[in-house]
Amino acid sequence: MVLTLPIETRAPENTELRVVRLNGQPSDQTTMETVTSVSCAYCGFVRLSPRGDCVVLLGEFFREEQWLYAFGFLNTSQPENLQWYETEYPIDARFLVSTKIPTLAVLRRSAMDPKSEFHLSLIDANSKVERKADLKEWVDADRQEFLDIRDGRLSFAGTMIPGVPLPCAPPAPMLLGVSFGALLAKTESDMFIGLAFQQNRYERYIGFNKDKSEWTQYRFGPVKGDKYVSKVLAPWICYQIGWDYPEADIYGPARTGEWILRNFHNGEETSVYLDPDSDIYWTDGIHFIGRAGERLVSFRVDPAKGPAVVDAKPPFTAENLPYTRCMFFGPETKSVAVSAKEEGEESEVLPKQAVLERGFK
Amino acid sequence: MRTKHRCSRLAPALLILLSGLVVPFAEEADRPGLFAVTVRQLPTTLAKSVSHVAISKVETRFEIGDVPLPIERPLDELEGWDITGLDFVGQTPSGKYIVIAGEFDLNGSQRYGAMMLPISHPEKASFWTQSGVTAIRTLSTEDTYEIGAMLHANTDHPPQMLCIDPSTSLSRNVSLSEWNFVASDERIHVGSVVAIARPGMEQTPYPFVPPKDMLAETVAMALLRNDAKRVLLQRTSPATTDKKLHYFEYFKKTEAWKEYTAKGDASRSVVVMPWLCTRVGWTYPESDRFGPKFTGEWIFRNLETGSSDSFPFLLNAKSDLLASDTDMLYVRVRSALYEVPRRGDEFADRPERDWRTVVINEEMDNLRMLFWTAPASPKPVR
Repeated sequence: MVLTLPIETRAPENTELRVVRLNGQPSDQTTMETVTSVSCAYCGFVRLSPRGDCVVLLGEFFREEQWLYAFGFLNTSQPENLQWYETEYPIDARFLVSTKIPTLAVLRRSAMDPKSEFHLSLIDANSKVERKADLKEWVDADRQEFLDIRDGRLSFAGTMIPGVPLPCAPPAPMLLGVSFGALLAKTESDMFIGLAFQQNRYERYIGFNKDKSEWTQYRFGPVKGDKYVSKVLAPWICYQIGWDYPEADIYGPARTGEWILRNFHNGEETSVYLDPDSDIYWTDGIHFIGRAGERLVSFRVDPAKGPAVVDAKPPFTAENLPYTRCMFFGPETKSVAVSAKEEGEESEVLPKQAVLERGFK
Repeated sequence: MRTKHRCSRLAPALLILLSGLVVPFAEEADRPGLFAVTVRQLPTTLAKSVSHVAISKVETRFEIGDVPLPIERPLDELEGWDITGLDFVGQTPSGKYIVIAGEFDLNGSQRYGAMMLPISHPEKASFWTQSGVTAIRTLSTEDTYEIGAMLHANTDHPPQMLCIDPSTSLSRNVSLSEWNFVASDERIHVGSVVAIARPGMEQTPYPFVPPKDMLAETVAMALLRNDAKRVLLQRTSPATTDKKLHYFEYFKKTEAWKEYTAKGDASRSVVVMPWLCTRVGWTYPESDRFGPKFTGEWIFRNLETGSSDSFPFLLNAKSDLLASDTDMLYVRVRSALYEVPRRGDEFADRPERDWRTVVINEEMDNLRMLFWTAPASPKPVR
């Protein structure tokens, strides 16, 4: 069911999901325009499709004394047209990596019986048509999954598709001594897997290129930091380094501001220092856009030259950037970002031309 | 920002005065108000750091109707000096003077000395210096000579000590043992003799030494405060043996010692009377390179009441405590200065509801100290 929003009854503790666009040429006169805005109880979910052509976000609404959930689909070439699709509460939702049309795989389970089986359905982001699917299609979702060794094969662990083997098996020598693993990144052409001899410490990294049908063992070592988090921005996997300390469970890990960047397509590695409070949003493979504190930053990587250096002149500075979850480039010098922020806050985005002309010179 | 380098006016005086130099700056008295001491690190190729220390008037908020608005504008810099190796910023026990000590650039000539600013008229700063001065601190005394200067011309001669009356800038020789009454900012070595860790002081026993059982594992301590009522020490080496800071407090009236602790193996202490404030911090494997992890939690202990109770107070991790009085705490969070009202025995911890913005200014990032120029009753500052 496609909804017409805004829904009049507002949820308690509203959050504003806002899609904004920059107007004009890159200059101090650049203005920002909100193209779509809706208040809801935000579910913390924003995903960019693997091809960068679609963004989906999940809104939570309160109407007629009951909660309602809806996916908001945004075609990045028409960011004004945010379409909402009412849904049952999803356990998880991911884009499939192999489909030409952006397709969202939605995992659900009965709310009344948390031990019941999972159900999978696929939503065509263009037509908003939903169809039921076999749970095994979750294998194609762009998500990280724990793996284990079953009958000598790498198989999915966890509760969703346990025991389902990877579609392609790495050579046996690569798995020698391995007890656990994780599917860390997946694109239409690549799979990137970390292998562990002990739980949660990946010491060997292998990759599979579908185009070449070829397995590679990388020279990557373990990522430093015992509380790092990873983010996939294909063909890079970006590790935000963090460390444990006695109160890390309360206040979060000790972030150093350092990011380790690993290219799972060609095995290169580099790093960049941003800020303990930072994020990386976008890459074209060489250039990156991120946030260091409340500053929007850009940098270019060249692993042969060592750690990347943040451009001295950022595309522009902006307040409330920490609320931004996702960035992508829209049509022709117009750019959009999807931000989730408390009501009343501003968000910020940047035009591709602004970055290319100001930040990457 | 308006920057004045008043020290350049000293050049003629320097030519004729070799020691005990005192140069008052006579200016028209400004109206009473809130002033800030800011310390900004300057880019330099020197081995020692160079700081720009400034005294600035803080324009507090104005009101439109009943709506108070924070001011967003540059601070009005009253005085500013470039100081190499800034050594000390503090307030005299009487609360009447701010003292800033370090190597001042006086028209191209580097002189170690102290700038002394009357709280009531900070524009009337005076500079004191003398050959061979190596350290300047405030002293815990009821005397008007409430600033101490250590002189150590060369290693062949034992150090000497002077004390200075900031109201007259007169100085007099005193016994070196008087340095034991420094009010704060000293390190104390715990060995066969417990003494202030300065050359020449090794055999001068420090008069306020915790009982041996308290000092069992202690190698070095920091003097946080020595005032009329108490001496407060903190163990600095080993920093922690149990992931806690250890404090030793001596009550002069009862001649009793008390030990207490605060969590965090990289925590920092600051005394903002009447509070001992502990900024909780932790080490991690790369903290030597990136600095400790400060969680934003502060732990407060009221030194005046002697209460053994302490309470936590959660601030932004990039915040600092600047000053307090009976009912208010002044907190800097990034570039903003806030008033935090007291609520019962604790402070209001809901910024959006209870805090009031005093000023928003980028220079606030460098804020070191606040003081008020209300002449009749200067508020206590850190």
